[in-house]
Amino acid sequence: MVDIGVGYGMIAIAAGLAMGLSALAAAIGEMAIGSAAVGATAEDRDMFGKGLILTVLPETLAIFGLVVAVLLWLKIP
Amino acid sequence: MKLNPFRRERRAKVAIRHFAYFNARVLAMRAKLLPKETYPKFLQMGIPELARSLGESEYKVAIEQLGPKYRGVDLVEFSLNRNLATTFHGLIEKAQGELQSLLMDYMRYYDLENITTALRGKLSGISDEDVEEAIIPAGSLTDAQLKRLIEASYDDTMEILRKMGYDEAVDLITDLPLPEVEDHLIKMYYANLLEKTSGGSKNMKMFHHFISIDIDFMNLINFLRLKRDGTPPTKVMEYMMPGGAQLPHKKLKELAGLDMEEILTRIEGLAYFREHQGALTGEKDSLTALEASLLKFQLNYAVREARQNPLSILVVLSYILAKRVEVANIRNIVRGKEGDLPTELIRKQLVL
Repeated sequence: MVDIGVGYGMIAIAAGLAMGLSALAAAIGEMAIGSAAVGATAEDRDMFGKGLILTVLPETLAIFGLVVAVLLWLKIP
Repeated sequence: MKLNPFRRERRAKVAIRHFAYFNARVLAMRAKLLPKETYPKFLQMGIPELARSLGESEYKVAIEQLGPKYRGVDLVEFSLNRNLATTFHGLIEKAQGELQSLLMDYMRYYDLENITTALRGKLSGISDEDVEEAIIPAGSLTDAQLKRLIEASYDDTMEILRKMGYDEAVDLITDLPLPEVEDHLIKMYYANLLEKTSGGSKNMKMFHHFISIDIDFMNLINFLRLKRDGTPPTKVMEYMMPGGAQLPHKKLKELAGLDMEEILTRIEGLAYFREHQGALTGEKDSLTALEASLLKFQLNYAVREARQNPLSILVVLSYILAKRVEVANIRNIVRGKEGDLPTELIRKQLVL
């Protein structure tokens, strides 16, 4: 097994946290928006497109998390 | 075991995601309410044309169902009642937990109204069929229960009232004339709602607040009517309901001794009208216009509060109020036209 040292281990954990926490935050946001979108679509089918767009907006958080995680990951040799 | 609808019970808390879902549905329903521009058009129409026009809106199902049986004013009136009942039942079905039980309690208002309508029918010897037509089945009583209520004898009606937890009212009925009994029933309904929702979750508190505002406006309308009729202050206070948000009993008592102009100026100082100084005093000559503008302020206030709390019970409560106002507006137009009232007078009664 290759020893990459504690510092690099911490970077790996940070990358995991950046991805995991941002995805969790996105999920919490999508929970309420998704419910509202389903509710609106149930009353008016034309709301489906608008609802879908609004539901995926918090997904940007997960993408930011992914970018940060990748940047951190690249630091590991 | 006696069924007491007003006992305190544990209610399941409502998750935020349910509020998001439910309120989005309510807002979509709200968007389908008739726009303001419709009413001037309705005012220009005859009753058959108006019924046809309603048949192309959210009232379509009700108009189609009742169309073969009724015509003209009756068709519109009964379609309004049926639509109101279907809409409110739909709201209760879509809600969950605490939200559902609060809405069910709120809708008990229609139970009381239906019971008093049935009683009034029995006392004045109106046929069961006519009474059935005046019933708004939006409360907790099912169609079968309502039918039994209409067909029930006077004593059986009292028994139904007792089962609903209105023992006190039944005892009153034997001593007081019906209008006073109705007054007591409404007072009990509001007192029970207030008691049941004091403390508790955030939504219960908001519900409590909404009910207090409802009481304020109801008191205001009754207060102004009684003052206009020259009722003495002590008698006015007998009709006032306790529990108002900004107009508690003490404040109303102060107002009762003043003249109309002074009362309106004082009322305009309340938070409901703060941004619209002069809106009430400008209407002081016509009680009809004054009542319409009070309702408009209540609706605007409720909508504003609902917007500030988009994930709360206030959204559905403000929708219920808006729906009631819409039905009342259409009813006023139809009744006005039936009674050949001048268009301007009907317009004054509308809450726009």
